[in-house]
This record gives sequence, C-alpha cells and structure tokens, in this order.
Amino acid sequence: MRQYILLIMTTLLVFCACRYGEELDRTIFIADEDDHNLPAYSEWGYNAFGAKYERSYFLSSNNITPCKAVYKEGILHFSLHGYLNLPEVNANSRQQQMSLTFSFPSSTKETYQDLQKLGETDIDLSLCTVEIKRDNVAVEIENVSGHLIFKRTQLLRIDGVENRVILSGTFDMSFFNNNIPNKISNGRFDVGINDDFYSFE
Amino acid sequence: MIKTVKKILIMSGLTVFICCLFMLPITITAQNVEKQPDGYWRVGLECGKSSPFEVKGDIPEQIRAGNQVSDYHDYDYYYYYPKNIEVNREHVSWLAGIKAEYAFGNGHFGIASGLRISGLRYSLSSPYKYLLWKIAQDDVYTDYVRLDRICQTNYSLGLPVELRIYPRNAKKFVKHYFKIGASFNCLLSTNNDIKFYDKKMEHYKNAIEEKFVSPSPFNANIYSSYGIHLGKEIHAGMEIILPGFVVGKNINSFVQSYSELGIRFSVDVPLYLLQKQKQ
Repeated sequence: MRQYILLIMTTLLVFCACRYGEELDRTIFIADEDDHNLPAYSEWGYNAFGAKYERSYFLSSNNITPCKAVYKEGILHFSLHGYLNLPEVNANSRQQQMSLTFSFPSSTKETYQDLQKLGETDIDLSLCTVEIKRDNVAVEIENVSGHLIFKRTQLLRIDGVENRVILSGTFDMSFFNNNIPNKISNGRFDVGINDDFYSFE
Repeated sequence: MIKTVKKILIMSGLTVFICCLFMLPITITAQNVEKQPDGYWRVGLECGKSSPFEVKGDIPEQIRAGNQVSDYHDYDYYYYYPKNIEVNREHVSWLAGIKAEYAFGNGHFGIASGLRISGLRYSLSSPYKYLLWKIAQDDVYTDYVRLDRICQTNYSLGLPVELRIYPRNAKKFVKHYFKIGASFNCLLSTNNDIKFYDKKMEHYKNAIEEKFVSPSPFNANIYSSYGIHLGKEIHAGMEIILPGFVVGKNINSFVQSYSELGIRFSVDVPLYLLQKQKQ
C-alpha cells in the first residue's frame, strides 16, 4: 500500500514539475513591428529566435527545442534549432528543419549558470566555426564573416528559485555556399537555457 | 458548494425582488388612478449591472507575455500578428442609487438627478496557469513571482443627470422611453486583491501595488438607454444601457477607457402621491 502511495506522490510531483516548466519552456512569438515575419527583439526569455536567410526566414518553433549549449574541450557550442520557411510558387511555404551552430573558444563554463558571463560579448564569426544543417544535412559553408552578439544575459529566478539563464542577442553573417555568397541577416534570439539543455564535458 | 448555494439564494432573491417590483405598480395604480398634475416630482431607487462592450487599456509592462498562439506558423496561416500580451480580463460593474425626477410636458419629458454608488471590478489572470510578474532586476538576476490573479475594485460616488422622453402616450400603463445621461463620478476607494501562486511570496504585494497606475479620482461617463416603464403613477422600469463612452483617463489601474452594455432596474413614485398618503 505504501508503495502505491509513494508511486502516486512521485507521479504527482513529476507532473507538477513538468507543468511548472511548461510556462517558461514555451516559444512565444511577438511579431516585430518592422517585419512581422520575425520575432521582435526581446529580453524576456521567450525561447524565440528569427533571422532572414536570403529571402526566407529561419525561425524558432514550439515543436522544437530552440536552443542548446554544449561546452566541450574549451569550446562552447551554441546552437539554434527551428524551421526554414522556403517560399514556393503557389504562395504556400515549405518548411525545412534547420539548425545553426556557433562554436567558439570560451572560458570554462561548468554549469548553465556560468553562461551568464557571456553578457555583452561580441564574437567575430570569422574566428570561429559555424555549422548549418538543413533537414539534418550539413551545408558546406566557407569564408564566414559576421558577428554573434550576446547583448544581455540574466539569471532568472522564479519565486526566489534559480530557474534558467536567459541569453538575448543578435547575429548577422555572410558566407559562401558552393562558391555562391549567402547571407543570414537581422538575426535575433531570446532563449532560456537550464540543465535540460546544457551539457558540460 | 457554499458559493453555489449562495449564488442560487442571491438569484432567487433577485428574481422575487424583480417580480415584486413589477407587481407593485399594478396593485397600487389599480387603487389610485387620478389625474396627474403637469410638472411634478418623482423620487425613486435604481440598481443595475453591466459588462464591458469595449475596453482599452495596457497590460502592466511587468507581466511576461503568454500569447495563446505561440508559433510563427500559426500567425502565418491566419495572417494575424498580435502585439498584445494575452491575458484573461474580467470586468464587472454594478450600481445602486437614489434619484429625483422632474416630469413635465404632460409627463412626456423628465429631467432626473440623484446620487449613485458604483463599483467596478477588474481582474487579470493568465490563460494558462499563472502570470509571471517581473519584480526586480539587476546586473545578474531577474526575479519573477508567479501570480494567480490581480484584481482591483474601485468604488465611486456619482452624480447622474438624465433626460427621459416618452415618445408616445405618457398616461398608458406600459410605456417605453429613451434616455440620455451623463454621470460625474468621484473615486471613493480602491481595493487591490493580489493572489500569489506561492503564498510565501505575499510579502511582494506592496512592491507590485507600487507599479500600478493610480486610478483617476474623477471621471464622467455619457450614455443612452432604452427602457420600459410599467404603471400609471408608480413606475417600475427596466432599461438597457447602450454603449456610451467615458471621459477621463485611467478608470482603474489597467483600463484607460471603456464602454459597457448593461441592464438597470428602477422604481419611482410621484411625490404628490406620497404627500397624499401622509395626509
């Protein structure tokens, strides 16, 4: 009998914990006043990002965890995951899964809380590695230039308990794909990272 | 359970009251049908309730957005790009008052004034589980508290001025009327009720209240209505308040302006009838 009670209590606790996360884990899209296809730049941890990829839009979605960070051997891999909306002739858009990973040298960040030190950091993308995957296929890119700027980082506490780090910033980059120049512009992100989406090796 | 019983009791009480209100002129008028003087005073009571028709107001900037449609692709499909933060709003207002009316022109016209106490209750809650309110922020930390609900009730004392017209025969037992009016209101008191998701956070109540915009001490609303009076001398009335508009800023901490649609019940007696009863 005691086992059943413990099982029910554990299930309830897990259920409550999941619901607690739900509110802050959701992607919230507040449209930019100038370009309604992009999320407005924000610093609230809306788990949203967006950028113009040539004439398409690379955007976060509620269906995919928008951001993950991995620290490995002195390199921080900061990745954004979402969809690329490709315009088609019949005016409908076709979606393709896309991820964009920035890998750059960084001081040791053992826990997600350490990501808070990234605040006001401007990363020159010509000095780091950038990887683009479309439908899980890597896009060959070279001669990358541009900037990834962490404008603001905040350690978020809910009712006095540390919950996640919010990273807000912008990115712009140009690169060559099969000797053809490509551009990702007007990039902005406002994402929350906690233990679930951070890895230190 | 207790709340449901209370609601049922209040509803049944109200139904009995309204029935009595409408029976009153039938029973009394049957006894006292006399020639009405041209130009006489009427005194009466009124009560009513209304709901919002259109509300304009900003959500406090400390509340984190929680829009219902959270994916770009949904917006793309509907071509809908909301800028506002999605928050559930509830708005209820009620009033009770006494009034005196001077009827003239064979009873076709009436100018009324009096005193009216009104309450406006406005609450904000999340369409999900809780609202997140940014309570503090420094270089390192950003602190949110979770709120179940924010509710503000404002009580006002108003001075209404109304012009009433019976477009047809004013001597009939059932007569419909139109009314235009304005009410000049003075704020008596404001009551904030903030429910925290975690009760241990209640010490932040004052810090949250400090961020509220103070409601304006004075405002006025202009309205029109259509109603029916029953009774030849003693009138029991029911009127529909049509959407008007409010003059003044910050009706409460979250609403700049609003118009409402409501219902009002009244009963009034000619003064000469009361004097006759005394004699």
